[in-house]
Amino acid sequence: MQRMGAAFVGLLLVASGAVAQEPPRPTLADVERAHDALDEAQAAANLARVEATRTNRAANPSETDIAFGTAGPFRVIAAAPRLADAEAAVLEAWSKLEPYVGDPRAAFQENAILVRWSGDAPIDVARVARDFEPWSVLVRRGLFAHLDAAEAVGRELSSQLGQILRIRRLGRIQEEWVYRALMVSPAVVVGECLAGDPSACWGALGIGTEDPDWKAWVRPSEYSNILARIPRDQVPDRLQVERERCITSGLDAVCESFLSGLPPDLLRPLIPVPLPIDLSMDLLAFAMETGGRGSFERLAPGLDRDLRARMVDASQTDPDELILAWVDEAIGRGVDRGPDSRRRRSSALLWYVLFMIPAARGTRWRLS
Amino acid sequence: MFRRVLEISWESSRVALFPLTVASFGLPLASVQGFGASPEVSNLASLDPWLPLYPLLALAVGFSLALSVWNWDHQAEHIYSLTLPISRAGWAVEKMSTGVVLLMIPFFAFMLGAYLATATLTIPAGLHAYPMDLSLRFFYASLVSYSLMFALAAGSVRTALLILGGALGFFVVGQAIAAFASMVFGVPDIFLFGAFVELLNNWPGPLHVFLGDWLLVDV
Repeated sequence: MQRMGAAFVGLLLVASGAVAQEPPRPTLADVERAHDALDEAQAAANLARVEATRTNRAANPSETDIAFGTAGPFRVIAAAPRLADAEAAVLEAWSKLEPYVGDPRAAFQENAILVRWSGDAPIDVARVARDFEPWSVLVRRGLFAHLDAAEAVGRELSSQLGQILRIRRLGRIQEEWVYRALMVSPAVVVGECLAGDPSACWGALGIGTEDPDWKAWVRPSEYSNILARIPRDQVPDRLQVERERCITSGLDAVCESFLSGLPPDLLRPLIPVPLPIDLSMDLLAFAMETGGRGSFERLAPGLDRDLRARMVDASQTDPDELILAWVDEAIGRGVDRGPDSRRRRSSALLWYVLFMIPAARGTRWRLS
Repeated sequence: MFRRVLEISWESSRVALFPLTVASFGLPLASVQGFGASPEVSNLASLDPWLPLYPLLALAVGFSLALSVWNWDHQAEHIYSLTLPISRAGWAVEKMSTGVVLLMIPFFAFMLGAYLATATLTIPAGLHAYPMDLSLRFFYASLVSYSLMFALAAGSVRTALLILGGALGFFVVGQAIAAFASMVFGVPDIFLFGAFVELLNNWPGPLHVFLGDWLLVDV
């Protein structure tokens, strides 16, 4: 009976599972495998999330996303939504610059020039391209994050000419302006330039000499105007007597002596370069056009050289020949007064007819 | 009819036209006196003092002619013209057309003066003389001033005052509204008078022909 009770209890225990086999204890390797699997799952989840984000951004790029592209020899970095526009603009600009670059890879790629557009405003392709056109790649609007030689050239030219020099061929209207600027300048040196003196032409542009002769830039009749613009308290004491003599006598020699004695930093701002900087830009562009392929590289290196030497190297011509060819070309452009005259006449005729209408509808004859 | 109207216009305007024709002949000659004689006066800046006189003379020619062709009508209270077998509009158009013919007199005088002036000049290299271009411009400027004054003179004094008063009122009230709109709604403030002047000056505004350089010798 006792044996049967024990068997019954045993059966109950087996049926209830209370008595089971003890599971095997996990080994250290098992734990590590489980940990690795968990890591892999987590990494896969992260990867999926990143991929989803990337796909989402590709479909809907935000302003803060940066994208990389290429245009000609340039690497373009731009806000992702504007990458295509930035590439188009740079490519357009490059098409203008390309004829003057000998080896694009050597000139740009190895220097790792990066074109960056970080502005908030949408890119106006035409405007950006125009800003580049055709050599203003050197400086403009921070488009170039890293320029090496090219940027250095830009800085160099800027410092030589007192402001940022945009190496850009001028449009037709401005070409007329070049002609007009040459023709109407009252400076003696410009007259000598037009008469065929090449050194006078360089001098009139203020290029090629560190200490220009200001007396060639103004006529004696202008001395009194210059004098009037110099504050009396800025004139050194030693020159006060001479200043008074110049005012009272008005003699050219006296005034010239007085002005010559003034410190250059006081005199220079009062006597600007006879031919404005736009003409220097035009000449630089002309030099590169003359030099053709490779002129960009010949212009860029050797930062110790002055601007005239650069232009001469870029054009691969003699300095006198270069400047006189440019003057000849500028004079040859001439000015077409026809369109302006026709516009004036057409507007005059229009108003003649328009004024005839109220004149014919006057009230003089109305009896009342 | 046109010939008769022309005779009347000539009769009424010849006194005013004579001194203006002499001035038209003399101005181009006077403006280039000494030009090119020395380096000091070989640049275009030496012509600057004369430039404002050209449009002023054209204005004077047009205004004088317009006022003088209406003068007899105003004095005779338009009785004569009322007796003619022609409509009011036809009369005004004929009269305005005669003015164009009469404007030819100062124009030819100006052209003669301009050609004489340039014939006596030593023009520096790179510069050119434009006697015909300047003469035509003088004619067209005279034409605009003539037609403007003709239209004003065709009406009564009351009409002229209404036009001027209306314009003045438009600027004063319009400017006040623009300033109010700018303050309240934040729209950009507009200087109405400046905008109007710009409209007149720029092509195809009526004053466009008067503006710019009136250079007998230019690049």
